[in-house]
Amino acid sequence: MASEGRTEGDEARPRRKLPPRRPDQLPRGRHGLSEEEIAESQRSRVLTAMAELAGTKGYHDTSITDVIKRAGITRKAFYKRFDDKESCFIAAYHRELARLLTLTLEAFETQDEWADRVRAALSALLHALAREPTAARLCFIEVMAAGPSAIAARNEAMRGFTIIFDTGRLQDDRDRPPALALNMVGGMSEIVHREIAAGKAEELPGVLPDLMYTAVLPILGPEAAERELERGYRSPDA
Amino acid sequence: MPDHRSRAHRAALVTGVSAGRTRPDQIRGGNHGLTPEQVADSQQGRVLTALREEVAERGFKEVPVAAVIRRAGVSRKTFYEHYASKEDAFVALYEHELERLFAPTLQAFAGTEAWVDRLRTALGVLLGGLANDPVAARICFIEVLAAGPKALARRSTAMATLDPLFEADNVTTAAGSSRPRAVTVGAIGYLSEVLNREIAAGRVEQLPELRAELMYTLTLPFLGPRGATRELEMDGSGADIAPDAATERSFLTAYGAAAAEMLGRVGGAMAADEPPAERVRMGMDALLRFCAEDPDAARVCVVEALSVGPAARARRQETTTRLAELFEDPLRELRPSERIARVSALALVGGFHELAFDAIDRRAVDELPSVEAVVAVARLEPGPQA
Repeated sequence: MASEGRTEGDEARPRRKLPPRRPDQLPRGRHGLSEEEIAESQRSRVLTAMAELAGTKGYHDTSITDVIKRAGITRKAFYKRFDDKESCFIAAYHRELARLLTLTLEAFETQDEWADRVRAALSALLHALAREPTAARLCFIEVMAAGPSAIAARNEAMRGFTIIFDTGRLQDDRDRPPALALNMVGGMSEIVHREIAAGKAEELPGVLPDLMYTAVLPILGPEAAERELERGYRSPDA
Repeated sequence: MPDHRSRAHRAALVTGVSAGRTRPDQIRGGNHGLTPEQVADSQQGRVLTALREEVAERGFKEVPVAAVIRRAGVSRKTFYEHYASKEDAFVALYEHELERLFAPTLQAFAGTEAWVDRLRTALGVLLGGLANDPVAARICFIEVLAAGPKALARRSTAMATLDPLFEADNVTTAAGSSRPRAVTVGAIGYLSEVLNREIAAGRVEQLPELRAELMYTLTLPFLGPRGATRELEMDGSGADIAPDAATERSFLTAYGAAAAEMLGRVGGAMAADEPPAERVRMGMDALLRFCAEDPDAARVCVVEALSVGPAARARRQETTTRLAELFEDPLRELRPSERIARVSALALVGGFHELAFDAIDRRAVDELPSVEAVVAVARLEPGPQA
């Protein structure tokens, strides 16, 4: 909308520096960048721009024009890398979610006892979401508003978290339904979703005891779950 | 799901995550072959983006230049080459954000319809734009007041950009005078006062609902009490300015019926005088049977409501809350506190959605999960039964 106003018809208005414009293209000629480097740089800038825009003003109000302006690439270059706005959004979502999943699973690996591992993992995730409300909104709110393919991508990607609960499910020989881990992921993501939708992403670390209760209850039982509540915020190695 | 899949999935997902500390949009050092003008543009864009993010996080007064340049990936020297001070950078950001809000507003005002209709449309666009971008709203109506004398001076001229809304050629006041300057100034002042108050009170997302009230006061001097009252009545529903608002509205009617049926069945099934764990199972059984017997209605409630528009998503969230409240009731007897009963109820409903979504989406009735699979997250049995 605003981008076309750069040609004529602008003379009435005082000339100002209109941000945020970036070089439209990477340099031609002897810039010393390989083709893959260019592709990767453009792709990465687009994903960053999409994640920031959709995570702040929402998917619906983010246009491809906004994205390419912020990323500093041409429309042609955009369409070379992505089919449309939705597929670009899904790629941005995947990248953000992969980051969150990685830091969650890395924290999971730092402990020995299963409950401690879950606590470390959830704590890492909640703190990351609190630090980055934009990523939180992208991964829990906007992905549900970005169309059927985005929802399918979300449903698939959330399975990445099931390993946390499957580890618990498989550690004893009780007969638990195989779908339990996914059931639990859904339950916890609903709780997290609530907080973010209410604009309380920054307070997410406060729901750690609730999530721990929810995580431990089906696997270790009510007594262990209540112990987790009592432990409150204490760190796993305290 | 077997967990080795998750590993592979994880590896696949992780590919492409960049690790460096610099912003990906930063220009690389060395001989990049860009003209000085291109570099300057890129730097200014990054500085303002960084400033916007910092202002969003801590408010303009608390933002040190050091934080802005770190986030933007430019040197202090570069920053001061572009802007004489932090205030100057803010003024540039303010102008940019304001233009993004006002340009579509004025564009919506253009046209040949009656003035009052164009004003109503333009106001809807402005309020919708603010509601969709709380950061811009804050910058333009709150932060600007505390960003120093230059910003304040800029603000008073910038708000006059909206003057045309009240000075269209064919507009006269109720008293008959045309192009009433004082009335324009008063209208803009009133508008910005209300916006400031609402945004400061954290009600930015509800701004579109104020359109009717604003229209009443803004049109009063032009249309007189009778015309202004008509505005109040005709627009009382809280303006939904989505372009496909009509589609959404007709969807919402269908949604309302389906959701009422769903909640009614679940609530009805749970009313029996049974032990709490049994009541939860009965409610979940009723929910799954609703999905099996009326797959279209279930799809409307669970799947389609997500893709129709913001109002439909809000209604879906509301229904989810009501559904959780139904389960919360028996869970209160099984949980150590009210809070945990609420959390467990949410987990139950979230767990249901996660397990059943795909089957509901495809209307694959025979693939719906079992009651026991869905209530597993709430661990209803007192101990191991097997």
